[in-house]
Amino acid sequence: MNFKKEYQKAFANISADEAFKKSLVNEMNHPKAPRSKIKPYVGMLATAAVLALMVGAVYRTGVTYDTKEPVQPVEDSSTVKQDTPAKEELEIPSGVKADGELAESLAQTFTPRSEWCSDMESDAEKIDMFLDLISGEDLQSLYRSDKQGFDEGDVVSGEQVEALTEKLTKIVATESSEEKNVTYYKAVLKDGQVIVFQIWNEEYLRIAGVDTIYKIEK
Amino acid sequence: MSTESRELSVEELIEKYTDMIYRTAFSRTQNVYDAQDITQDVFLKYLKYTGDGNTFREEEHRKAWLLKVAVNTGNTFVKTAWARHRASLTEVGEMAQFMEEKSEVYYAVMELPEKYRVIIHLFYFEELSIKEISSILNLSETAVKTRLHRSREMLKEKLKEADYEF
Repeated sequence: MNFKKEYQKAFANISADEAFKKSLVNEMNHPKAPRSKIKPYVGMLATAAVLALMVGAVYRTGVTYDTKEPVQPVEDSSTVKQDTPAKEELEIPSGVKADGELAESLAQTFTPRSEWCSDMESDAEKIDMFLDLISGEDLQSLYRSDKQGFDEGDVVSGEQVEALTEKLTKIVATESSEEKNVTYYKAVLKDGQVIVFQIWNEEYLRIAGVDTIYKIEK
Repeated sequence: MSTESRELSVEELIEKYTDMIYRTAFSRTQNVYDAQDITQDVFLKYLKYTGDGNTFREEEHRKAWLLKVAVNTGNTFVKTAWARHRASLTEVGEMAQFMEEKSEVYYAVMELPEKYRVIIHLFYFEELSIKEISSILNLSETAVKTRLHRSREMLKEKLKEADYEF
């Protein structure tokens, strides 16, 4: 059987009744319905125009016009102080000074990593999405390294990506275990988002932004 | 295929889009009265939006706008304390009385969590693309695909005896 056909058939029976539709028409045609923001504007513009004419007439006759009144300085918007920085700052541990490669490595470590799964509420959804993203056409490149931080030499070949995604097909949630012999991964997606994950002892998987730890079954 | 939009009278608008909004709202809230409230709210927002001088270049844009507002209004609605504490499955059953034959598909979909029901509805009933759904729900396309995949898996499990093709 075809699901779509059955679903459409079932939901075609759900419809608003005629009395409700009629009441909607009445309500929307009611003069108090919030339909027109333009008409009041026209009225306001007309009033403003009349006032402007009256003020202009007063000025022309020279009544109550004081040229000595100091002009209030207008604050230049480009010089307004901002209380908050324009960009979200990275959370770097205090006491750490870094430049060059180390700075890049720290930035890679501390940049918020969970943007890719911010749409998802549960870890079950996140892991589905993770597998979709790293095994599908969304993946731009995958990096692998024995240490945190990646450079161009850490890019993994297409075959290796395939082998990894094949390996990750069977994963089950598990308890945390000691992280030894860790391999770090960074998946860069075509839309620029980044997923960082790590595998240790070749059998445990942890993904930044996902609380659950997974065991890779053979 | 896109169709150029023209201004619709209130009567035409109601005739053309009430059921679409109502069904989308019902798939979310599972309650007739809530679906009516949401439908009414969507149309009032539409009046305000167009009253502010906004227009739709194509009819598809009007449809997408109405669906997006219906989903957002539904989101706000189901978050209210009153809606969260109200049992709604009775309404699901009551609505089924109006069906010519009881549909196991209808019940199976209505048992899904709400975020999956909406995606199923937009995909299978409104026949929107993943891209259109992602825009309406403000989700990434991957997130929509993932949720669609998960909801199909859940439905397959619920409907396994009937062996549906998705």
